[in-house]
Amino acid sequence: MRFTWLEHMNPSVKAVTILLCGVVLVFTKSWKLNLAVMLVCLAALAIGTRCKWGMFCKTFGPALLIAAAVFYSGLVFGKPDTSTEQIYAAATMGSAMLMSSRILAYVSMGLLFALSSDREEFVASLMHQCHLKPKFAYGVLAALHLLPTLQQEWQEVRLAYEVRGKRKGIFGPLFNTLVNSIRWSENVAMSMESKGFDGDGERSFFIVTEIRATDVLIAAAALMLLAVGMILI
Amino acid sequence: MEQPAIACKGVTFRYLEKSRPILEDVSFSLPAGSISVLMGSSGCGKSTLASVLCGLLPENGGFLSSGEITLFGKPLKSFSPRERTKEISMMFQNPDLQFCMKTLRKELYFCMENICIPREEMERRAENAAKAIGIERLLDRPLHTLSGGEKQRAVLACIYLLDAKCILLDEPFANLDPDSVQELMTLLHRLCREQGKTIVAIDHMADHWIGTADRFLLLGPGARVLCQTESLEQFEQVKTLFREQGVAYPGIWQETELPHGNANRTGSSIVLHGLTMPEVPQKPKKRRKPAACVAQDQSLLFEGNAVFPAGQITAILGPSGSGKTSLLMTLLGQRDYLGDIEIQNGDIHKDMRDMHPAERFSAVGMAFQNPENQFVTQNVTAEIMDGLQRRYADETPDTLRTRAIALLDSCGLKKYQEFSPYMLSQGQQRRLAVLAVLAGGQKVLLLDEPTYGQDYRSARALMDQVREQVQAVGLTVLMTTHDRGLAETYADVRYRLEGHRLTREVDTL
Repeated sequence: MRFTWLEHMNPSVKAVTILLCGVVLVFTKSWKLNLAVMLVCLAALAIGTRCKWGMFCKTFGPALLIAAAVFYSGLVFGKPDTSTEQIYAAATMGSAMLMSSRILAYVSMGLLFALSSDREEFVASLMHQCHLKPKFAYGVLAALHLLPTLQQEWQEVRLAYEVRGKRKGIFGPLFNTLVNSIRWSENVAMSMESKGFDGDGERSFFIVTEIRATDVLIAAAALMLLAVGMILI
Repeated sequence: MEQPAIACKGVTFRYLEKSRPILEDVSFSLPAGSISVLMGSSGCGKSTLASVLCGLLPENGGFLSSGEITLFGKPLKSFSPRERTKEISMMFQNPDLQFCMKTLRKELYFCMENICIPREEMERRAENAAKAIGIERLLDRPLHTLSGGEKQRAVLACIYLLDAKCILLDEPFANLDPDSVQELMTLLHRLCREQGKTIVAIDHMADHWIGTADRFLLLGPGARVLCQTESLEQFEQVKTLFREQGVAYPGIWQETELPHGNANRTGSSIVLHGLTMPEVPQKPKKRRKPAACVAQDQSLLFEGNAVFPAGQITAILGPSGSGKTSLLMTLLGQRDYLGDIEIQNGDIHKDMRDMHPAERFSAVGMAFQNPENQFVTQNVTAEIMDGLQRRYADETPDTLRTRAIALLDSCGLKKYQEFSPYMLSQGQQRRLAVLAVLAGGQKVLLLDEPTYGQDYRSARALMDQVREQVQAVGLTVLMTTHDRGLAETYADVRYRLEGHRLTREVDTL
């Protein structure tokens, strides 16, 4: 059995905690700390969520690649050929490590949030805890749920260009899709309104999220851990 | 007299303060607990009228310069959106654009949140609504995977749940096949008779509603009511009025007999040998080998043989989901298939598989179901000229323009020649899309539902144009349609695609 405590954590509290950690991390200059943050995030993903290996590799793989690229360019292109070579070499090695490890740390923090949170629960929690207006919250949800239709549309537009003997470029089809999506948003808004949706009015909620003691505890523990890390490493 | 459910008095509405009014002095009243159908030609302001009745306009734009709308005696303006939902709710034309959540269950929760139903009751109520409409099995499927008919029923479940007294339908059947229409019709009939709902539908075809509707209102320009009929006898009397407005009534297609089969037979015909289309679409790739065989129940079409003769119009009928569009896509080389597709032109036989995409697209043109997705320019005339350019490569732009305008004129689009294609109404866009393909000069044309959402007059003009081109230059046209009357009038050959089989229909005389 796998534990899912991270998935049950209030998404707003989780987001704020991760953001705070991210801001603090900006002011540190230790690649060891960055790697430690990454390891802690990955460990939390492993023991606190049900995220799947395939999903993880798909998102983390590219990040590794980018980190490696940044590391290599930091190492190679910072090197002058003067007498101070040795000092510079040490400096570039350090900055290359810092830059690439920072990428990894931020990516794993982002992943920790993305792979452990439910989209609708997050939006609900934004309304309950952060007082986001339903107008915006449901607007975002509607847009997200239109994505599959948009994708289908995009392919159709490109095929139409091909059939008419045009080059398949990007900008022509992009124009069609943009024009269409403006009209769509109007349609969807009208339909939501005809179902009684009133952007600012009173409403009841099916998903009610609240901040529990465990949420605060986990958040505090995470920040403490970061503080301890900053002192020790 | 009983309180009318919806009453309009002298309603005048315009989109811009100084523009020509879309609705001009519209007055009518509809009694509660009945089914009324408002009919009119495309562009007469039907859809605008629906939005105004529902209170969505002028709230979302436009100006209501005079007149008043009352729902059960109370002015529409006095309701807040939430209160209004209890009186009137609307089903829109495009089934794809009516949901904001992922599954029907969540959409139903969203509706209940809007009208402040306590959380504890939501689950039970959602199940009940789904049961009443007969779609429990769809509750947890992602909405974007449902078919058009299923989506419209999902909307109906939402409206049922909101418990609106009036249900307003804006061309609800424009994208549905006759079977789904029949199902929806039965449901609407039941809602009206058992629950006393007032149903107001907007449509450009009377066919489906005969026998169900209590009254028909014919709208003229500015959505003014021209006549109202309540029985079939009265209907006979006003047929000429319908014809003048270009609105279809049952049997209108059959009233004009067109000669068949005298076409110019020089073009290329398409022959299918044992064509099998797998149900799961895959884009053919050069290196990937297609599956060696596909089981019958995993295919849309199983070993179908057919001949789509040169210089003739072939119609393909069949329920939605049976794979009509997929067949056209296969002919366009966009789907995997087993068996062979041959294009024969005189003695030249070409296998589809050996044709390079560019070669294929210069031989086969297609007008897609969704017209907005296929414009390649930002001007109506340029759209037509783009096709003509390839056909008459050596002509000057001026002669091309004259040709383009003549084509536009034949389908009543001349006055829009300087417009952007996106500013046209859906029916006009569809006509433009078909014209653009006609202009392209490909010898084989695939038309996917060329006339849906069109009123009778435009459909007629469009099909006449297609037919003229077929006879003049020997095109091979393959079209899918739901409109049997149209297919019988215009098609020389009819096929029916149903249950993995493609069968030729023979006239029973």
